[in-house]
Amino acid sequence: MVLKSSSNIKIEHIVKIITYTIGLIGFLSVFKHISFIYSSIFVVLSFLAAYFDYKKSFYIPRWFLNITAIVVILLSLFRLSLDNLVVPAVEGLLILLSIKFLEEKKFRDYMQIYLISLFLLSGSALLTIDIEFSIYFLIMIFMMSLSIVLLTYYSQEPDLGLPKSTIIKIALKSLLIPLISMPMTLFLFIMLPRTSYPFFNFLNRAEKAKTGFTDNVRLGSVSGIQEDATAIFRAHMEKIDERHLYWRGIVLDYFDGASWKSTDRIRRGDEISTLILKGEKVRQTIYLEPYEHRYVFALDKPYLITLKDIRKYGDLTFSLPKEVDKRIRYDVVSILSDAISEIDIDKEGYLQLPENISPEIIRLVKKITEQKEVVKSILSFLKGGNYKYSLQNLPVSKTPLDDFLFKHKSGNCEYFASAMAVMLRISGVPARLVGGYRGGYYNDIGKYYLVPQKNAHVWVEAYTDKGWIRLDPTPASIEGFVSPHRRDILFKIRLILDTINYYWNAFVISYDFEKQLSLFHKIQSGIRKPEIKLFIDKEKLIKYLVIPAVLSLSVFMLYVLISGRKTKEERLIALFLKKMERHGYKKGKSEGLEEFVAGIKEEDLKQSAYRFVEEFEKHYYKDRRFTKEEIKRLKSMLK
Amino acid sequence: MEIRSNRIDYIIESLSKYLQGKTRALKLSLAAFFSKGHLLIEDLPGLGKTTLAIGIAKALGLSFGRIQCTSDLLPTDITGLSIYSKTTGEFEFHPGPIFNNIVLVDEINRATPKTQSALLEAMGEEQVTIEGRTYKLPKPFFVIATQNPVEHFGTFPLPESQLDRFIMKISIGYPSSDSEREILRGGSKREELYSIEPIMNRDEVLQIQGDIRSNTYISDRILDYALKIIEATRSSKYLNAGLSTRGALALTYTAKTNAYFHGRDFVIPEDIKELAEYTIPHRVMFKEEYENLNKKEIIKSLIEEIEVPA
Repeated sequence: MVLKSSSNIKIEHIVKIITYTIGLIGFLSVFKHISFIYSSIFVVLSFLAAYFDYKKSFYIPRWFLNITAIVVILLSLFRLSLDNLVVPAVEGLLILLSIKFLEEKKFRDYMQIYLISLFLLSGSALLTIDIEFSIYFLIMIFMMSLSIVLLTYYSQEPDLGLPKSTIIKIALKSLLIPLISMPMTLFLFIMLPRTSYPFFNFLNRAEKAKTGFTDNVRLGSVSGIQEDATAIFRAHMEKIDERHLYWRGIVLDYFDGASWKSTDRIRRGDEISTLILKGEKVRQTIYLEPYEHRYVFALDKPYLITLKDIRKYGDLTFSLPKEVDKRIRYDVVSILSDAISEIDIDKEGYLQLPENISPEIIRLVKKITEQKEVVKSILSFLKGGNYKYSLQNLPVSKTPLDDFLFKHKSGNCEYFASAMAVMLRISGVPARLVGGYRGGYYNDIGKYYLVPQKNAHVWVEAYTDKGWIRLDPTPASIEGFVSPHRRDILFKIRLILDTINYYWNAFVISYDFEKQLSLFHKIQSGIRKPEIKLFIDKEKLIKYLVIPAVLSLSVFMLYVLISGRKTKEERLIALFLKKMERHGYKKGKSEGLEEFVAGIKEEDLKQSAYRFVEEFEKHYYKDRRFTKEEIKRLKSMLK
Repeated sequence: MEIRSNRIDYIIESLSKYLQGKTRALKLSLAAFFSKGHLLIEDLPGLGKTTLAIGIAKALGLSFGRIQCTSDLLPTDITGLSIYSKTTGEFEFHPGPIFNNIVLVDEINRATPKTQSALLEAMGEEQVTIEGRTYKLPKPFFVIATQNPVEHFGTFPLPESQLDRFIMKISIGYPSSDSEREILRGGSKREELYSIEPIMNRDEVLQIQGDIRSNTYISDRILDYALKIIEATRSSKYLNAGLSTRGALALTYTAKTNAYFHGRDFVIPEDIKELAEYTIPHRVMFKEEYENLNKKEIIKSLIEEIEVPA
């Protein structure tokens, strides 16, 4: 039966569109992790394939494609190594997928495409644990179930077209499959152990923050810095005054003329009892993304961080024994104190200057601090307007500070902070650099600060009679740090997406094994002591156990009643009737078998149907049980 | 058990020569006969009822008697009576026409109720009692009664309770024009019928009857099906009264015969279905408003509602 009409949509077209979409989803899920060459090969080949499919005039011969596919598989096998397992495999799969696209597609080719796409998606799950995965996954499952249903039509009748309404109906029904599977997923969510870092990340060198925070400040090595908008951490807390938004990470004390380092000298002070902090207490819960250092960030000035293996230092910085290689969560208590009162400091260390410090700088410092308060005058000198904030055209030289102060007069926070610290030290004021982040976007829905990598910042702490006070010589306006440059819709969408991502991290990824265990124990103890429960919590028992049990039992009974258990004979006759139906004959319920067979017009069919019916009736209406051989024989007659 | 359905087929084939266009009626009559029941033919006169009866009797090698009913027909005219014999000085029993294997009772509805009941009693009991003595009727014993559906004047229609005693009620109907042309060309073949060689003999007939009754298997599945039909007639909105238990027995007996005729030693639902329009309508009482409808069609529609076992 060929249905052809202009209002009908050809199944083949839909299937092809869906197939390309599924492939695209597989590609998108791994896109971020693979090299550009493979991505471009895939895109080019897919477009070519789509064009061929559209034109339907030319297909590359199958044997050629098969040989290419084998070569690709072999090549990716060679590229595999123990510390680089997933990415080459994914890249190989991607090329295979584009080769499959190029083929003239038959039923099995479609299936292969779906399988490869699914593999790609699973590959992405090994590389990342982002929420995008679940979105891709849901879309893919829906598309696949829809497509497989349509493909069964297609394989029966390649030219088949269906009216729009029918297709929508099929689509809705296919949507049911992922929906029905949801409750099952929920069950797995509770039961399965899960990792909070990508599964195979230890094999692949994980993709980590490339710009942003560093554990040393190096001047004069790069001429430009790329802004990186990816999040470094999210801090769940109440909104506070933007002036206080300095996230402390590391303290740097040693300057060799080009770069700042953190030395162990100042870290001796594990005992921080000498520190006095006065001010408002702020609690935060911080979700820190994996990055390449050990330092954890907290709102200036952090007092207490609750995290396993955390170490606190005398300069109010905190670090872990090893790099942050997975997403971590910790609680912080910070105090919005103006100063860190420390009585006994290593003045010599904080007054250290590089040996080759140029006399020009010393002269400059003398000039601007003459008969004035040192700290204020230096701060106003740098912030006064002579020096511009810039991420481009940074001085590249061996004496970056001189170049910054006298030639370029523009630089990023590192230059400003370095210059200030050096100038303070020249004037005899102990000073140090503090590295961390500045600002952040407050998400009102999720109630958290989103701090992106580009907010990495360096400022100065000077030791005055009040103690260590924070000084930020960088003239960049607060605006750049606390609110987005563009308040457009795209940014809002990104913020909303980030909220979802935040919840995903907070509730799904952080849902840890211990919680699962405790839930499991709760369930177990509930089962173990039923009689106690019965007395203590009769109502709850009824609510949670008896009612569902009764409900499911009655559903089961109803099912049994409706469906009934089919006997061998009934199954056999059902098989026969199904076959006859395929020939276009449907038995009425009051029609006897012979009567039914007599109505068949094709003589051959009638004869063979009659032979079956005769054989069947001989047993059925004589109440004789069928032996296995007889069933087999009758079944063979149906073929 | 040897199923001699080919013998039955042979009888039907050979009689068809003489009974053009009456093959169906012939088959049904044989079915009634081998089910050990009695047959009621409701039809207009002159359509070959007598020929049919004679044909069956002759082919089966059985004796044949005929009773033409009138309103003054007495019971003894059927059963026979004792007459004083001068030579022996005793009353000698002269058997009536009912003492034959196959008895044609023509226009039974013209006989008075008293005569009718004597006849029906004989059919039921397979014996007659005259003047204190009981005489067994010969075996096999088969009554073909006819009645004229059009004539109502001066007739005594059989009450339902008595109709129930007939295993089937059929009508012969007009022959097709082809068959009728043949009849016109050849004239009545009644004379030739009398001279045909019997195909079976009495023993064989009894043997087949016995086989059908006791050696043909009827599954519980079929019994359930029959019970469903019976239940349907009892609860039907068209009917005042459904099938009696005797009617139910008629269903299974005829079904067995039908199965045998088809060469089977077991019953299938079609065996019941095929004959239902001859076994059921005369046993059930239709509500007055449906009296004028085609009763066979109503019964057929009832059965169409019932699911077969497979």
